[in-house]
Amino acid sequence: MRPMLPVGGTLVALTALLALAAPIAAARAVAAPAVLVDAIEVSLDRSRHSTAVGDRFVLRSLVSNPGPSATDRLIAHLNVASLTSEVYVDPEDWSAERTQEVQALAPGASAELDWELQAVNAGSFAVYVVVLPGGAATAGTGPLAVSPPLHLRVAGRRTLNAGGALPVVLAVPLLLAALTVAARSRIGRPG
Amino acid sequence: MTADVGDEARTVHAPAEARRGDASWRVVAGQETRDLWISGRGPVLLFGFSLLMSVVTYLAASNSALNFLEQRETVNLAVQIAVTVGVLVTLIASADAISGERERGTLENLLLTPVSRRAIAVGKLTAALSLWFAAFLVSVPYVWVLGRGVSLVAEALLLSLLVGTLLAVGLAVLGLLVSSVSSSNKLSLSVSLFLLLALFTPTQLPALPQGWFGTLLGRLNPVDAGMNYLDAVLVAGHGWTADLFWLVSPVVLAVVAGGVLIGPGSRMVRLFGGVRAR
Repeated sequence: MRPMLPVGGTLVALTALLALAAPIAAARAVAAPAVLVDAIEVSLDRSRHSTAVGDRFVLRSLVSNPGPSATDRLIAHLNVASLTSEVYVDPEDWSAERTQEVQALAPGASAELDWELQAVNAGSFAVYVVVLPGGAATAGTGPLAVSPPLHLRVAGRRTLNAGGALPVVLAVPLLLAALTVAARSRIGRPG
Repeated sequence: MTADVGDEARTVHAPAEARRGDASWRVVAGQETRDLWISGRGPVLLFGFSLLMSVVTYLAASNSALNFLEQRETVNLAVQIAVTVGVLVTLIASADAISGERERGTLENLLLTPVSRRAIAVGKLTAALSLWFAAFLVSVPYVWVLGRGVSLVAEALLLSLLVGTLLAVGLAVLGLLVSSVSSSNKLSLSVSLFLLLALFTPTQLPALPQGWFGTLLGRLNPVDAGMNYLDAVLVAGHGWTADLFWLVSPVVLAVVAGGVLIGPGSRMVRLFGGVRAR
């Protein structure tokens, strides 16, 4: 007769197995989000910038992975926020391409991203880049990596004045109308 | 076209058969241009064009919503409107050129003159193109007012002339073709306007990232490509040679149009378009 494993022994064996497996499972569970939380750094090439309405400029950001493990695929997103309540900001007006993909970064690797912006409102603004996980395994996990904000001051400017345009705006149609009427009346005159 | 073209053509060119092929189109072009500008709708179309340019220029200079635009973009806006509307009026004139004569019953007189049908087609095209060149001249003061502060006037006007002429030649021949096969003038004008709108619509789509198919369509569409070239040089500040690929389809359109006039151009001018003679 084969000796039966006592119930107490079975429990001990299961507990030992669970105890051995637990650290591995826990490590797997935290590995994906830990890449973003601990490892990813986002920086901008400047902290302040002054410009005028209508001007374009390029902001350069650096996404780096100083951590020991590779990241998943990442998504970088540019945002513009007004620092004053009177000015409404529609970020889509500021940049045609506000989302860029960053391929998986190996340990120590980094990626440069350029953002072309056009200042469309006068006022004081914060511009920042946020990096979020975009891979199948890490999508929807957080927290996110955010750059320090760029403080942007945009001065108002009137590029044209209506007074300067008025003579041309009035004179050209009037001149054409006068020429047309004169030519028509000359044709219509008998003889 | 009035009946005296036949007499004029006979007087000037009847003795010299060789010279007639070279110069008879000039006689037709001269008479068509006179018809268009003295007794036709040319001045009215140009007056409407100047009103539109005035409104756009005044809004760009006075309206705060448009005034935020960088001055280069304002100049670009004025140039694009000038090119688009200038090409539109040219297309209207060419779409009326053959089907209109046919409907008014004056095409028979024209066909009886000692002028080749190709010369008639070329002459009518030249007269239609005079509308584009007049629209360009009218746009000069507006572009000057908007662009004088950024030293962009000469560049903008040269670009406008280049892109607008390529588009005007191509689309005017297209209008003549439509006019030659249309059974009525109304149909010819409707089809031509629809074609222009279909070509112009993509330029109004938002600037979103496109796939290869969208990019290909943008480059194949001569109107869209021409506007993109204007954008690249006037707004982005690229050199004239940096984005020449945008000019490929407008140039191809103009060359094909020239080929159509030289080749089957003679068959464009016929008495019954789209309707079989019984």
